[in-house]
Amino acid sequence: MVTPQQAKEIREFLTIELNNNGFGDIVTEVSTRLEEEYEDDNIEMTPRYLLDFFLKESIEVLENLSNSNFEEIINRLNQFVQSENSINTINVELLNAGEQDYYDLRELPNYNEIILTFREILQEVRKEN
Amino acid sequence: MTAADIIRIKGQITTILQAHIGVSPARIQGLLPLKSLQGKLYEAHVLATICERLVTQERLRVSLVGGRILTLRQKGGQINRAYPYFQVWNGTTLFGELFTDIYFATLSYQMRGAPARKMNGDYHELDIALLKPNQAGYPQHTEVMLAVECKNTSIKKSIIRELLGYRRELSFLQGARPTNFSVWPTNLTLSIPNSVHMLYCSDNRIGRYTVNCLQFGIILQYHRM
Repeated sequence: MVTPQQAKEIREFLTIELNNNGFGDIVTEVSTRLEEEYEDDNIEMTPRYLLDFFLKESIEVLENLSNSNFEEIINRLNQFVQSENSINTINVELLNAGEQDYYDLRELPNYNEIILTFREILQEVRKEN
Repeated sequence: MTAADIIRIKGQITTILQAHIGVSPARIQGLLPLKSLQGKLYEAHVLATICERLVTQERLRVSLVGGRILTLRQKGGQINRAYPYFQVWNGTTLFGELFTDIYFATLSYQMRGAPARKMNGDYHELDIALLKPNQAGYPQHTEVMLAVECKNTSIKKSIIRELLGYRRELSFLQGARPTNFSVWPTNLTLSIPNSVHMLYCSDNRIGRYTVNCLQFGIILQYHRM
């Protein structure tokens, strides 16, 4: 069983490590979701609930930010949009001191490995409870 | 759970996060936050969905004008046909034109006499907009058929307030009126002009606000990549 103290310890460690490794946005997003949950008086915010919530919502946010199906977007555009030549990528034009610079969205990171690890930890924590 | 289990879990967390610490490409650092680019990816996903719906549900035809590379803009601006955009056809009639990241001239701008020199509040950005054909510059709110905002972010009340503000700058509240669409996204809207206003959001808590927003002619859509 995960004790309340252990649940708190894991959650705080996870928060610190996310912030220290460039994933502060994930912490911010999960905190926003938690604030929305505070509106629901029926939820008891125990340390175990908070750890489960933090892991579950981190996984969902990472899935939302992950570049896991770029080709599916391109394929769907080409399926439903008529064009002399098929669309081969999607760029973002960056504001760069007046110069034109582009970023190919294909290059965005895929967080699948992190998601899998977090899922494993969530399963273990739930099993213990 | 033993103390060894806690140490192991902490090790798993550190190892996997440190392995991905360098994923933010150096080329874009300082130019645009990674999260904003991930928002653009979501916008592209929504755009593909809109094209699909227009074709499969409205029986319209969508064609790309201007090249093989779809280019989204970091920041909105006037209509610029140098960037690729979409034409939407109903048979042989040009039904509308679909743009991304454009500014529209607000209802309040029109109400204060549409002066030649625009101030900040005279225009706002739309992530995706289906406009009546042949628009240029800052299209007036009356020319918007479908206005779409994309939020790949967690829902909070301030987003809903922002959305309601957009709606006010697009139209007045009115009894149900026919839209330009037969089925999708809707054939009726509570607004004059009869634009359809949508928010796509990746947080399912959006459902908590759906009924309220609908009272002002705003359709909320839970949508994940």
